[in-house]
Parts: sequence; structure tokens; C-alpha cells
Amino acid sequence: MPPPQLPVRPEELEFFAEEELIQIVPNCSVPNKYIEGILDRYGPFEPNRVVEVPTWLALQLHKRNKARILLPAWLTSDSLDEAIERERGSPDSFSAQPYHYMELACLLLEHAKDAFTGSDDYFKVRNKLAQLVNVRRHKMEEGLRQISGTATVRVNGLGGYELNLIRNNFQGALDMFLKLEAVEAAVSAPLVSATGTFSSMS
Amino acid sequence: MDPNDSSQRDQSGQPSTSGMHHEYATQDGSLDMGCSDFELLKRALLNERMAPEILQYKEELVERVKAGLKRQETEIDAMEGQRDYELVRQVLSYEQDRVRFLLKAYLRARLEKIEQSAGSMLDTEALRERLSKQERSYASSFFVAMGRYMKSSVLNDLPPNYQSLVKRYEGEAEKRLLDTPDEAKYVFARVLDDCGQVPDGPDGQTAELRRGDTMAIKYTTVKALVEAGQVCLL
Repeated sequence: MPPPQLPVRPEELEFFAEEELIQIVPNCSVPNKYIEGILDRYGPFEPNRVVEVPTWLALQLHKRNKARILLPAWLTSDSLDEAIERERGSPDSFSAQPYHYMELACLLLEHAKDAFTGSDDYFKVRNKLAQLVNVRRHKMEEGLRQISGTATVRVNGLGGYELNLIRNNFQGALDMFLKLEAVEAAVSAPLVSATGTFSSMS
Repeated sequence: MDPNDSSQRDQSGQPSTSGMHHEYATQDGSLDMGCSDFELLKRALLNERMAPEILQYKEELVERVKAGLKRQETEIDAMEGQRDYELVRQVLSYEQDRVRFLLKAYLRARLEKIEQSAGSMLDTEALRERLSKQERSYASSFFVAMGRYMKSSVLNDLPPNYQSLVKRYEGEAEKRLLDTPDEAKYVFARVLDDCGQVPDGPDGQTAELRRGDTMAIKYTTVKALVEAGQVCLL
């Protein structure tokens, strides 16, 4: 049987990630300084003035050579080092990362290579990101091994990409336990009412 | 890492009780305040995708977005040909495409659910209320067309007592063939607002839902909170 489809596809996650704000330095200006969109007013766009815009807008401007993208604070080489330290230091929980960190990092690594300059060199950042992703993935796998029944689990700090990775396995296992519990309840109930006292089945 | 490095749209302010928690994304804004329509529509879409049953139609939100799209159409057409506005026009069309995609995805997710259980939706007053007018008429025509197809291909060839679309046999009290979605499943939920202790199990177990938590939790536990907008599904 083919594995069940994911309700949110990776392309859709990327679509949502593109709405996140990122800082750019435009090298042009627009009439009226702002762009009035349906959802929001973007700007002010003035040459050499830092402004925060959604990532889709940043990438479009970057593609047309109208702006330079600044690396977000959580994607610098130092931040990633700290994040890796924190991950290794806390085996039971995940360090907080932006929900769309994976999608945003991939978008920038692919389309905005010139944002990675100086000490946040492209290859360095990419390697550290890979390390971080690995450490987190091992933690997730550990956690999955420990599922032994239905439970409400707090999974703070996981990003959309990671939820998708474990979704089928994690939710599937928990759903299965839920079904089994329902069967167990249905089977042991008649015994209780018939005898009037509790007698366990096992 | 600066915990509040996102922007003017971030409503978070207070850190939660656990020291490790930082609000990064603007998309963590609580409830409906200060949230863009994109965020609201996105949440509506994800809630629909993850919930087993159909949720209340967000009429106001959809109408607002449709009006915005239409307004933008005229704006963009007006900019056609003006060289100064070329960049602005491109940016606005791109944004328009994004919003249109999101709106369509929301409406399509609902239509898929309707197609899966049109019969039971038309039959149950409570579920019928959650559909928009167009969705209701879509559900009826879909059910009728499906029914016509079933009858002509299979049902009319069965013995007379077994030809019903909704009952397993004539004289059955309930309409057992109508599919109702199974609510016993787990979902990933993000808590947008402190909900305190929420009843979570048959033996009076409760779960604590604090703002900013991401939980793997039974759908039935958070159903009412999703409707109220205090929790959204991921």
C-alpha cells in the first residue's frame, strides 16, 4: 500500500515560508516610496536604507538586481554554532528555531548566494545547517522509538519540515494506539456490567 | 539570537514561562489581532486540511480577500504602460498570484471534503450550517450526480430492497451508508493563546496548553479550541 499523502506538501511549506519577513537593502526607489499591496503596505523603499519585506518580495527584487538580501540573524555561522550546542545539551527538547527555518535557509542558499559573505561564508553556513538538522533528526528518531501508547506530546521547537518528516510515523502510531484502546475498551466493558465488579481481561 | 528580531507584525511581547521559548516568525501572532489576512487564510486552510470534519466557512474573510483581489486588478491595469510603475506592477501581480493561490487552495480543500461525505453533510443540520451557499448547492448536485451514476451502474441491478443510496436495506432505521469522518485521530496543533488545562482523556486527564506550544494531540481534545481560534493545526 503506498504511504499516505502528506496534507501539506513541501512546495506549500515553501510558499508559506516566503511570507516571512527578511531584511533587504534596496538600490532603487519606487514612486510614493511604498508599494500598496492587498494584504500589506511594503516599504519604504529608498536606496541604501534597510527595510523588512516578505521573503517572496526580497527574492523578486534580488532576481531583478534591485536589492541586496541580508542574512537573517538565526542563519549566521555563530547562531548556528550556538544552536548546535543547545541541541546537544538538551536531549529532551528541541531548541527553538523559526518554524520555516529549513525552507528559508534552502531558498537563500539557492537563490541568494551573495548574502553569505565574510565570516558567514556559504559553505560554512551550509555545513553547520546540515549538522544542526542531523542532530535534531537523531533526537526525533529517539523520540519516535519511545512511543508506547497514546499520549499528548509537546513538541515545541520543531519546524514545518520536521513535522512532515515524522508526521506519518508519529501520528500514524498514535492513531493506531487510539484505535487499539477503543477496541480494548469495547471488549472489556461488557464484563464490567455483567459481573458488577471490575475484572480485567489480561 | 535576538528573540524578537521579526517585525512590526509580531504581537508577541511576553515570553512564555519556559526559558527556551522564542517567538521568531511573525506567523506566531495570537488570535486574530494584528494578523494579516494571509495568515488567517493560511490557518483556515491548514485547519481544513488537518481536521477530519468540515469546519465553519470563513465567509467574512473570503469576501474581504476577494474584494481586495478585485480592487488590485483595477489598480494593476491602470499601471499598464507606465514605465515608472513597472516594478510596482510586477510586485503587485506576484502578490495577487499568491493570494489567489491561497484562496483557491482553501476553497478546494473544502470541496474535497464535501465530495468525500456529501451525503452526511446534506443530512445533518449542524454540518449543513457550516457550508457556504455555493457549497451547499455544489454538495446537492454532486450527491445527485453521484446517486444517478450509482443507480444506473450498480444499484438498479440489485434486488429491490437493497437499492437505496443511504441505507443498507429498506427498512433500516439509520442511514448507515452515509460516511461520517472518523474523529479519533491525532493532529499537530499550535497553541495561539493560553488555554490552561484542557480535558484530554476519559479518566479526567488534562493537558496544559500554553501559548506557543506545539503539541501532538487528539483532535477531539482541541476541536472546540480550533473553532474558537485559540489553537491552529499544523
